[in-house]
Amino acid sequence: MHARISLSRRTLLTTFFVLAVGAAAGTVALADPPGPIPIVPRPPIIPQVNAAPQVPLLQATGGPYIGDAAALAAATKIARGPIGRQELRFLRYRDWVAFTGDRTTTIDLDREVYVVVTSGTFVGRSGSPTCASYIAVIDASTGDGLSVMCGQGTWPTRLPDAFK
Amino acid sequence: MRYLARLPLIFALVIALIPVSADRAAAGSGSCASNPYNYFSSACYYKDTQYSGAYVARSSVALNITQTAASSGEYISEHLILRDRQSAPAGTTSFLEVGDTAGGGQVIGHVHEWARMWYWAGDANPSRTYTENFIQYAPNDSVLRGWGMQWETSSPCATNAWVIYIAGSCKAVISSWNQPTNTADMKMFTGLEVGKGGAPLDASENSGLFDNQQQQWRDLTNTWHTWDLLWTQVDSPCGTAPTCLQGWWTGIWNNAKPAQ
Repeated sequence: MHARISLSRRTLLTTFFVLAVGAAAGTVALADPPGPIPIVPRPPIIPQVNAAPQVPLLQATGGPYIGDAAALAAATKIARGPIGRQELRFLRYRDWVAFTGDRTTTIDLDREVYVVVTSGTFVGRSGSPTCASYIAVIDASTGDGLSVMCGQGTWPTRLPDAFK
Repeated sequence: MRYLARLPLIFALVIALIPVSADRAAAGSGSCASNPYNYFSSACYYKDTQYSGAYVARSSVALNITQTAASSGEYISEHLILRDRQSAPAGTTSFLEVGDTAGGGQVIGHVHEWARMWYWAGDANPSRTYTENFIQYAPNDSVLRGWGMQWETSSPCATNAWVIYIAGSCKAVISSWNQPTNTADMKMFTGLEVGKGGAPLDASENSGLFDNQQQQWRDLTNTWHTWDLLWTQVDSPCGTAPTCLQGWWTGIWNNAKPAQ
């Protein structure tokens, strides 16, 4: 009985020592800013595969529209610095989708847009390239920008069919 | 009985070893070092070389930015990126990104706007088809939402295309990006992005509580996996302040770090 108690005391003392060392190691790791901090694993959540189609938030309006001058001005705002040549076409969003192969589903395919090509510098968010030209999709009803694509060179080598 | 008495010791040993093994795992082998992005406080996952999906689940907690900071182009955003280091042309990269940003930054139509919004960006062919797109304004309601991207061979949203989805609905369909089997060397990045390209950062102007609940990746058989620490690098490309704010992946993140 006495021996068992001694064993437990030894065990407890060792446990305390190891815990103290462990805690100190943890403190050092947390106190060192450059050190990586591990991600704490949590119970997994099942990803939402087979998500439902989005109901478009921007439907076709039928007008009134902002007009060419306002569309050009909206596209100009995107440039970093002075711009050169500009061209625009009045299209449906589906024309832009057919050109790029990409679609933001909050926009209905029939939504009226101005597609404006600009020779000018465009820089997007961090990590994006610096482009010498760009193509902007401007909402024909509100004047808001909906999408922008970097051009290749000072004038895009590839454009929607409506520009041919 | 003797084994029972030693259980606390075994438990303590395990606890004491956790920080050591986690550090070693998070340090990784440097496979994420080619991350080209700046001002990220992010984590990178690099197991395998091809992914068919990326997913995170986060509470929509406060992303704070002052009106003045937003007006000058600052932002703070939660991002999720799949990036492919292409084999042809050699050394080039492409990526697909979805994010929730406070402060529009350069988001088309919302440049320097003081608001919170979802956006997606992508570059299917570097310096040629880089694109940025506004999706919709985002709530700030502490609701847990899953969001991400995945390749769909056939779904209600798309056929043979990448789909960006947020909280159970498809927000974008991207056909211009490579199908997973045609990618060369993919990595998954997620975390916080603070600031704007080349601008000084200031923790008093943009900060965020980062309640990251889950991050998963999908393999080529469409099976989802939770990140394994063995293949995770946190903040590897960031360096230390003042070149980059540090993120702390301990469930709640706050960038109350020294200003640059």
